[in-house]
Amino acid sequence: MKNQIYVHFGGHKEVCGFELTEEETVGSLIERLGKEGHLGEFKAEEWIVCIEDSEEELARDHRLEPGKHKRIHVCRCRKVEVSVVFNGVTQSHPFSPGTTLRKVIHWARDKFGVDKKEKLVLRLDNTESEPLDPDSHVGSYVHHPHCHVTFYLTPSTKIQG
Amino acid sequence: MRLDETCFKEHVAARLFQDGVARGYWDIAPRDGVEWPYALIWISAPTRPNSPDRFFLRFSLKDYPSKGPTATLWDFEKDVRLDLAKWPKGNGDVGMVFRTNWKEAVSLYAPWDSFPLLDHTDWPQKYPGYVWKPTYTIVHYLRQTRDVLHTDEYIGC
Repeated sequence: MKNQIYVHFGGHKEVCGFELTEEETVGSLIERLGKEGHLGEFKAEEWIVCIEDSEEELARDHRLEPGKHKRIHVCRCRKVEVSVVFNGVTQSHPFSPGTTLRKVIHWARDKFGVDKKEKLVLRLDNTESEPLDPDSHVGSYVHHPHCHVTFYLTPSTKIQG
Repeated sequence: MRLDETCFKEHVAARLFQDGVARGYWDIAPRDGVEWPYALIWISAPTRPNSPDRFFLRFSLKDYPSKGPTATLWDFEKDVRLDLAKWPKGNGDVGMVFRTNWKEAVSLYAPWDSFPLLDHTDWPQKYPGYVWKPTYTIVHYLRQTRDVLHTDEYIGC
């Protein structure tokens, strides 16, 4: 399992582990994922790969190394327009699809000027839905060609007796 | 096999649970004598002086997922509820979720645990999104509990 890489897919919250072959490149991985049926409507040239929490989109001939590329995002949206609603105010920013919600929360905290001590969560649909996994990627919440998502930022629960 | 047990096993085998395993967040803790509707699962804890790197939760999962899980901290070696002196301590949610002065710590004091909900009928309105829904999986319980521990509020045991 030492050559394992974890792949987050655009539009899906589940994460898959894959064994990298020797000399695996971004291009060869996309071809493989397509042939194994992971990419649905498969046109290799449409799919991109980026590293978790990195703005960089990897070139087709980029060699994947398990130690260096532990988690990647495979999708068709080159950027995800993320809108965050907090107390009725919306702020937006284009993020790389492999950006974790943890990083979006960090961005939103600065943008809305929320105290660092306040624990925050993002939710989908409304302010009362299930708090989202901060390790998930923004690209997992969009479905190409619609590369836009709206999150609701709320304080985390404060349990009282 | 009962339907609740089948559902639970499917959720444990699913990618969301297994991704937490891969990240070292949690995993099933197999132990002789643990039979349905019970299951032991550990969750990782951040490093604190003289404190363990994980806590074991003993879940009761009858009628899962229609009914939400309930769990208490467990001593894996002795196969008894964890000595109250060894429960996580801290401020804010840590002190509340792992409080030991409520109903003899028979469960976690959290809105995602079904047991305290019996006495707190206002919790679904008070803590929307956190209270169990039949569409949730065991990952919801584990993530929320682990997130409480992985804050500055947790000071150790």
